[in-house]
Amino acid sequence: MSSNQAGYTTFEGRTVRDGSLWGNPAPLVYSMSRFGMWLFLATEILLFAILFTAYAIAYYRDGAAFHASAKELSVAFGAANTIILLFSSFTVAWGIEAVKRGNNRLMMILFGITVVCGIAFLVNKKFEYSHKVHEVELAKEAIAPELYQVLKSENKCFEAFDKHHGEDLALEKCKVVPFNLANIGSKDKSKPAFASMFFFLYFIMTGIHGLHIIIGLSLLIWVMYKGFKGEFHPGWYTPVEVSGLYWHLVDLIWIYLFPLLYLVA
Amino acid sequence: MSSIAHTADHAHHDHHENYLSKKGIWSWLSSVDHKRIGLLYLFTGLAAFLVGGAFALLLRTELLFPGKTFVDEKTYNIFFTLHGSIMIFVFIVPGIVASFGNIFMPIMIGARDVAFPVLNRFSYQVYLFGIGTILVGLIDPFNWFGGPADTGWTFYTPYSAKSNSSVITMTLGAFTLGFSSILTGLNFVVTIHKMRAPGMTWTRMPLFCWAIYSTSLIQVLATPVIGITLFLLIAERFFGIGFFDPALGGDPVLFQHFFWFYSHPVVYIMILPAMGVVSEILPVFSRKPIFGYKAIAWSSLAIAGVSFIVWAHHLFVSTLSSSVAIFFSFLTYLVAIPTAIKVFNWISTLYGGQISLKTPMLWALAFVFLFAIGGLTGLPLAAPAVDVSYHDTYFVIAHFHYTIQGGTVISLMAALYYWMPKFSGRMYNEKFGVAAFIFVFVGFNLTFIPQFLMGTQGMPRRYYDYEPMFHSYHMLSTFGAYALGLGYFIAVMNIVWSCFKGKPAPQNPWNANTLEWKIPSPMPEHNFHEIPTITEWPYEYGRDGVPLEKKK
Repeated sequence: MSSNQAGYTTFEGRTVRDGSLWGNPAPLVYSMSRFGMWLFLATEILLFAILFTAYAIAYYRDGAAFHASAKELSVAFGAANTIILLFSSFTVAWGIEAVKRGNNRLMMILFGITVVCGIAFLVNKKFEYSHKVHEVELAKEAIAPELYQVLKSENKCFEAFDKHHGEDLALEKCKVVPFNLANIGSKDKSKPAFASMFFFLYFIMTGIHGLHIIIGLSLLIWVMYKGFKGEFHPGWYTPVEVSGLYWHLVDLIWIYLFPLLYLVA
Repeated sequence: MSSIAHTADHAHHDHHENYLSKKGIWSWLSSVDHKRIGLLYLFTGLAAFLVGGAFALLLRTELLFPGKTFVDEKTYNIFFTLHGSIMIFVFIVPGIVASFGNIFMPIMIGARDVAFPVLNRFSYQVYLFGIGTILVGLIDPFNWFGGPADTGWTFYTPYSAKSNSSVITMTLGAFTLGFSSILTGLNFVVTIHKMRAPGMTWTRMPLFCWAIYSTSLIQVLATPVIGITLFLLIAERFFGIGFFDPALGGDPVLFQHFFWFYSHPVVYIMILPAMGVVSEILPVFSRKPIFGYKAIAWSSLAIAGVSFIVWAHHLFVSTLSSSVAIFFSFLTYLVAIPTAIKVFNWISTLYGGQISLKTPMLWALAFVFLFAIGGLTGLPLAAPAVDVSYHDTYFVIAHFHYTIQGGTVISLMAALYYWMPKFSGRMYNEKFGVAAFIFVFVGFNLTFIPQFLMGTQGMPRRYYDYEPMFHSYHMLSTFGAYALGLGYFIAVMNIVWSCFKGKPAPQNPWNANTLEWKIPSPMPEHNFHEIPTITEWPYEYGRDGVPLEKKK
């Protein structure tokens, strides 16, 4: 031990970094990083809180449209993704426990399973998205072919507004066509805006959540890379725990998104 | 005798080796040293301040005469958007907290750096990237994104959802700057919690650090809200979905709620560090212990707490029901309590002190005076019945500038002159400092007192044209603005020039007692040779100018 220079220690016969950083000892770095990540998670929760607030307000205005729209989503897909994420959170928690006990290899296996789960989640989402987008395109084309072409070429609705300003019919079409996804399958067409609000929120919320999944996956892969290099030992596993915390948040948010978006029907 | 020789020896040693020693632009951009990052923030901010100020002068010039003076209406809209956005997002929100907070907060709590130095550098890089993005949106000279943004810094829907100008680019810029702000705040909260020197208890911490702590909490907790709101606005424009646009079934008032849920706390992000600076300067230059330390410290946290529940007072005329308005009016009045506690404590600190009117003290005293006016004129605006008349008039403009310019910018100047000998190792020119102060003080009041008067008579804000009855007020205001601009220009140039050519500064020119004055000027690269152990609070200033032992 005494042969180690400052900042290094010995673990299983290898010389490894002891986790001290910028002159701060490893336990301080550990507690600072954990605290920092908890604060960051607080900002994430506030970020989603605004989306939940928006959801609550739109739901309060027209809950029926929400119920109708949510039926368009596949509960089976959503439930599968919920189970996948819950399981991945379990493997992350187990992985952190493993690395605390010095079992680097088990941690990497478990984090590998988590990464596979995360990718499975994204693939699932990709199928859902493309299915929805396809339906939207079909609906647009079916309801107003000529306006659909205009919108498709310009990709902007407000220009269509300017052109047809004052013409109720065009205005009505513009309102219905690009936004009213709930009209798919000839549901109630009387309240287009709020039904589209559901799908707007669906894409925004799951989209931002998906972005978090990708960030979380990158973190986990980075941790696995560090684990592969053998950097972690019972005295230094801060990146493992902090990335795990982040992954748990991603999971937690999905736990709220699932009933709000899929089960509200 | 030996201690003097030791200090001199020390100073000589550190003259060659301090945080400014390494040269070259790369050594600055790649540095993770909190002092260097703070200086980068400071001078980037000051440059933005001069640019934003130049646009304010253009605005005032246009308003010199009724009707067209030298630009058309559209350009006028672009000017006030540029002025507001640059000042708010680029200069004043990072303002004191990212510059002086970065340079001095870690030293004041006895740490060698912030908790996450690399994250700190990343914040600055994100900040630069955000400035680039927002400037593209604001200027857009080649019409790449639809021309310069013209929505004002508030991006109110439905106009911002429909305007053909480059709103998306500009909001992306604001979004990015917000991200930088979150990371800085997070870094500072962790630093203050975890990195205080031995013996630096919460109640021995300098008040500036308390202010930075409260500010950082708001940054961490409020900024995500504006981030996601601007994201929703971008999505609305990009996909053409009506979340805020009433023509598509959306709700523009919802945007205002979301926007002000961040943007009201953000005015306390601006003002709290300013209050912290003043709490440092007043005891030093009146040679008295700060009066009511705990009251000032806790009132910072109280302001931070209350700041989250007052946002709807911006919406008194935006379909807010009167019962809700009364509720928010009451909560808004609550802010006056901790604020008044601070002002009374500052005045009590001055009372009976040996006041030395050096430039930093002049700015600090001006802060107390101007901010008091700003605060008091906020009270009528907090009353819904009065606000119905004053809303969106020049009264609001004048109130805002009295709190934010008379408060934050004046305090930033105080901080600049107070800490300049420490961070540059050189003294500023006192005569130019005082002259700049006089120009600013007179010019400031000349600019904004006529705006109060105009506002009470109904001159609406943001208008390009006005009734002839307001002409003399606008003339006075414009001339005041010229004096103000000249004053700030002299003040900043004095600092910039002195940073390179000023006389070498001693270690502790103000005989101040906080930790940054106990290390050489400029600071050594790792702040302390040995982390100090703190045994008392820093405010034991005696009447003879020498710190006394704390009496029990």
